[in-house]
Amino acid sequence: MVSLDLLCDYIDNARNDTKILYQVFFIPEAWYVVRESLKLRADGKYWERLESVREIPLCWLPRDGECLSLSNPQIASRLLINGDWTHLHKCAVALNQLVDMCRGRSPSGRPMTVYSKGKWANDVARMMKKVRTTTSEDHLKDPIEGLLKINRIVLIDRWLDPLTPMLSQLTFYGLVDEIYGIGMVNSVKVPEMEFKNERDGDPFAEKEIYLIDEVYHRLKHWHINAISLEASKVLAEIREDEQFDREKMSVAEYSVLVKKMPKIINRKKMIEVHMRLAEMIQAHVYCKLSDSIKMERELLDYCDSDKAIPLIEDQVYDAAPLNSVLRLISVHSLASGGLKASVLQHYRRIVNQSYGSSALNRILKMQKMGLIREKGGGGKMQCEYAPMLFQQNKKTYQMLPEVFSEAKLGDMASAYSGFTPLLCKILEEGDRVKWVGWPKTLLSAEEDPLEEKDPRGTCIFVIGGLTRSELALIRECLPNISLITTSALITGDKLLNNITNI
Amino acid sequence: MRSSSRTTTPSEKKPRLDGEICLRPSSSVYLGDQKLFFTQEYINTCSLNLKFVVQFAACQFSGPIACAYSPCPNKWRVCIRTISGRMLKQDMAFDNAVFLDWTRAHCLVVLHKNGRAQVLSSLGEKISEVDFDTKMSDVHECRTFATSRGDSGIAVMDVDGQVSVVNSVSEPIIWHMRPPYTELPTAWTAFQPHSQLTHILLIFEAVFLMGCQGESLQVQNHASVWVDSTTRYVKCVVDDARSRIAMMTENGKIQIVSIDLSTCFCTVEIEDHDIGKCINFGWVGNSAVFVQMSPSLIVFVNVSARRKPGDEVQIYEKMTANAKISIENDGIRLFESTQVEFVEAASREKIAVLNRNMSEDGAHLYKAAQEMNQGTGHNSFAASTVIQDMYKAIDECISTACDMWQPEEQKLLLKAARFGMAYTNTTPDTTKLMKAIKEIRVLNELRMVRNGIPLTHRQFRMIGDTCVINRLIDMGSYSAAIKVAQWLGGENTENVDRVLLEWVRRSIGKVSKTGIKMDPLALKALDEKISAKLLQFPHVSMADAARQAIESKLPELARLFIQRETDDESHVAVLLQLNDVKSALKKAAASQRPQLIHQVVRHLMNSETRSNFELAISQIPLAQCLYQDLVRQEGETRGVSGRQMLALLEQASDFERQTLFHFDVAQTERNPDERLNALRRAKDAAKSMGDKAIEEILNDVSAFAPLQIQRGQADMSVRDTIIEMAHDTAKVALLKQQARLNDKQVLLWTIEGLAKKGKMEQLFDLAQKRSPIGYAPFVKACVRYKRMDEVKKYYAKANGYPDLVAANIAMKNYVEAAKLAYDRRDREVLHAIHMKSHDDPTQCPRVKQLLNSLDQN
Repeated sequence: MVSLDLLCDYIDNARNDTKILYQVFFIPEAWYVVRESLKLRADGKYWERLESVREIPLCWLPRDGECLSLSNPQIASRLLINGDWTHLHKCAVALNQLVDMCRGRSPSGRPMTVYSKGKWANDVARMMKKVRTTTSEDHLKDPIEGLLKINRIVLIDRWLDPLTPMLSQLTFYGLVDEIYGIGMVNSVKVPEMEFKNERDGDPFAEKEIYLIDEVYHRLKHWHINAISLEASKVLAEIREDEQFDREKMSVAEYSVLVKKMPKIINRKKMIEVHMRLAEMIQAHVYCKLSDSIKMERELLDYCDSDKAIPLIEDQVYDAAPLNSVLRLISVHSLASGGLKASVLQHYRRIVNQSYGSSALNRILKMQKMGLIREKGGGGKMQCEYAPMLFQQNKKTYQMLPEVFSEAKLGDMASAYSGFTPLLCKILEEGDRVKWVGWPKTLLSAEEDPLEEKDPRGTCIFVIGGLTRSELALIRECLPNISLITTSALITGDKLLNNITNI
Repeated sequence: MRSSSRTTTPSEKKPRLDGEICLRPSSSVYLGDQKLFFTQEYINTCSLNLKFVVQFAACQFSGPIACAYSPCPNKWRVCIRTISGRMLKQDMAFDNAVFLDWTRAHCLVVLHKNGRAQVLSSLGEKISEVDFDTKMSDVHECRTFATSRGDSGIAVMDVDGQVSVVNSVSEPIIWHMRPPYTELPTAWTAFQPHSQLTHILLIFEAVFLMGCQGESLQVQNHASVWVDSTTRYVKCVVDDARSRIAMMTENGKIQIVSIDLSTCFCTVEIEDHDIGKCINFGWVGNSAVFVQMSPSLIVFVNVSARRKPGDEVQIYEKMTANAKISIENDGIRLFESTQVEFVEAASREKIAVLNRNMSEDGAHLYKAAQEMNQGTGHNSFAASTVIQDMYKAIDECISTACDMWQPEEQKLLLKAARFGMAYTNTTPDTTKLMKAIKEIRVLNELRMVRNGIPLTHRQFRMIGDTCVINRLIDMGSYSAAIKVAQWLGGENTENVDRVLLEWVRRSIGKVSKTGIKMDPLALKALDEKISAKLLQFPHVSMADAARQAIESKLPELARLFIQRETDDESHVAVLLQLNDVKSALKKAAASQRPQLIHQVVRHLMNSETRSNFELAISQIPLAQCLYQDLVRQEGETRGVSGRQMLALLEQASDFERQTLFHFDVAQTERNPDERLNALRRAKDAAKSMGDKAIEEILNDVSAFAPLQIQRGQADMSVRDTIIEMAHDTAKVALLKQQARLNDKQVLLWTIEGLAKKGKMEQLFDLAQKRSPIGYAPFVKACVRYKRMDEVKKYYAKANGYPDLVAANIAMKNYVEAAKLAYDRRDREVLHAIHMKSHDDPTQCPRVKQLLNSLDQN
């Protein structure tokens, strides 16, 4: 609708002959409603000016070479607060597009198996099947089967584990996102002053750093405390590259070196940039977030739902950033399986007093979304989604292992320093049992014979968003998952900021 | 031709009224350079009773025939049959009809005495009516003529000699032409030369008048070079190519002239018969004419342009029994008492191949193949060596095969063509052969008695695939039409679809025309029948059938159809057409496709009142939320506050969302009073929801807010307000009471407010009393607002381990704080201090040292 306004404004303002007709493309969808309201708007004045209205079905946006995203961070809120299921349908359509890309649309192509876990996932799987059976057969000529070897698609709900996004991510990549926010083109904007470590300078100047180089890809999944390990390796490599004996070199060797030189220089430059970025993040984590992170850890280990946590209270009194406070309250609630009514009321009251009624609104919506729950709540502001049951899952899935190493990429508990995200654990378990027992949907009549045999080539789709730390864990710990897709890459703050209005 | 034993058909034993197909070999006769083939197509066609037929018309291109019988004067009974004798329509009664003919578009025209023409379909269904002239007293004569558009025109001459013409029966626009003479012409015709306007030719004895549409009749003086002015011209017939006219004079002369009457190609004088008194006259192919002297005698005359004057007249007489004649482009068809016979002016290839004298390549190849078949290979070799151009021979064989009537002969000729391919040097191009086989298959099927369309290959080529299928549809032969469409179309199913759709339309139309209320059982049966058929063709959608049913005003049937439709989109569309919004909504919801639901919702919004459709929608949650989304989006763009949205929520008694809705309004609202109102409404909603706790908080808020508005601090939170008014102890106390704050909150915020405002004395006074929260907050506030000189005072007051550590951290004395923690062996606190000490690179290493040494102990 907003885009419609823009379009109409453009048509009004463009200094063009009124006879000029426009071709309009909507990405990714020309909604039926959009067309209709275009027709009706100003008695069809705009509709007359349009030569055609079409859509470019671009759903998937690549994220950093790791992940495909629908960039729809509102989905959880839309589903739980607005009850708007159409977003699930959009997921189904996008996934079908992915299937088409891999398999082509011909009925003779290889069938695709879909496993799903969670309410939304089951819905999406069902819709995928429906959409598939009803759409007419377009002739999609070239499936990229060779490029994307996908044997199955696994759908999973974010809301099986709403806790993890509420916690602070501790991988380099995750922290960059948490603190500065990674933009649409995989870049972060940091204050120039801070980056250069200068006392004076323009306090509003920003430096944009593109996170696309090779050095960055090597560093991004590491825990912030362990980043120096990998960085030193990179530095060593660079040094090795630079060591050459000019005297003894042949002309051929020279020419190789000259060709390599720009790459070496670039690497040097990039490692500097990222080391500085890491430093900044480290400083931020240690000085500002350390209390919250410690708090989170304590809440996960043991917590009492009967009492408000003094530290949270203090932060509220001190009017610390609202989102971080709300995230702590949410962690408290999720970890203890719901807050006692009086505690919840206390939190709500002090938040309202410190931040005003809009903050109270957000708490209520978080309640509606199930991020904050009332223990044995009397049905008021209840979330329709089943609760996560952290205490049980903690034991069954060993989410808080005694021993873990931040410096080991393959350790499931590394990204959150001792906490293993439930989502990753569920996926790991599914992968281990070859998804037996998961609700299974076949997109065509017969089974895929290859699917049973080959555990590799799994594509997962997380409905409701995935954090970058989880992304790192799935990448490093579950080699069978070859393609990660999600409705959006999120952080806790993004999730809270994208809570929608009624 | 060798004669073979007669092929019998199974139906011979129990005689039927219909005819039988006859596969006897054709006989042939030479007529100068022409050769005529006589093929008996159907025999035992006794039911025609040609003796009593008063008017006979056959549709060109082997279409159906119409016979008129006259049981009493001025009354006609007309029946329509296929050429094989199958009845298509029986006993149609017409009063005062005078003329009967078929148009090329497969329609029967019945002209009445008063100048009114009825146009009927081949099944006798009335299509339209053409009224030539309301003042027309009596019709004298009538001619139909072919036009360039594939349709036929009619020219009607009344007894006054005025000619009324329509150029197309399907789009009748009448124009007139009046001759300058009062008497009637001795001969006349109407025709449309290629890409020209319609012409009328009137002959008054030996005076030729011609005029085209829009002009007056002119005497054609240039015709005098060939006109025999001593006699009267009694017949004139235009040939199929519309380029020549055959003229006949009273004294037995036949002249072939060009269409513009400028040249005469050929003149033949016949003395044996008094042809001036003939009853029918017309073309047989391109270079022969027939003259029907009586129902029992027909004379064929060669009128080839290659004839020189003075050459011997080439004629052939044929005896017939009550013959009626229909003229085709490649010959004529004779309908006799008991048989139908086709007289074909053979094509050049056919003459060449079937020539017993064997002067042509095609004939040699045919011979060679036959020899090969009989096992006399040496003869075969001998025959094949004579062939000069093998490609030509193959083509000739294929084309002759197409022109054959008997399947046996067709096979032999095709085999010969295949045999010839072995002798070619290049890889043979079989497309021609394949096409011929495909077409022969179709032609053989069409020739069956059940279809009764004995098309020749040349006729088939003229009218084309589509037209043949259309004719079958017109005649109601759907199964044959589908078969033919499948054979001809191959992968392309367009024609098949068309046939099916037409079939469905007709079946449904038949039911709806009866007008009686169908009982559900009969409808069910019809539905079963149609869907069973359609299911054999998976690409045809049931929705199309349903649409047909709707058009025929049979909603119940449409409903039955649509239940079988698997495509949700068309399903919903049809339901909407049926105006069954409820089912449409349900179906759309079940399909879980937002676009569809939107479509239905739109439909509802346009057709129903708001309350009605909101009620309908509220029963389906999926649609409900979509509708909400729609309302929300429209609200956003139009700037209308979401009153409608609220109404929806109220309707659904969704108090939780109502509460949130009011909160949202409060959040976006700029006007403080309005905001307060929104919060009050939120409170009410929370009350209805039954959540005491939220209601309580909101109660406080709404109690507090009016005063805030009075103070002009409406945008401030309680915390901000206290900080702002910290210096006013009385007010703070009041606020504390109003907002139900605890001591800690008040104290913390007061400290911060005093430090912020620089009321340092007041702050110090506050510090004189023992602070229940320690003195670290004082230190923190001073540091925050850069009152560095004041910090020491409060730091000195700090006592107790936590308070001291906090105060040190606030002052960024990390080392000091770390030492305190170290002394207490408090690893956890020390760790936290270490983390924080990263802020100051000078202190960090020292803190780390302390941490390490603690770890070592």
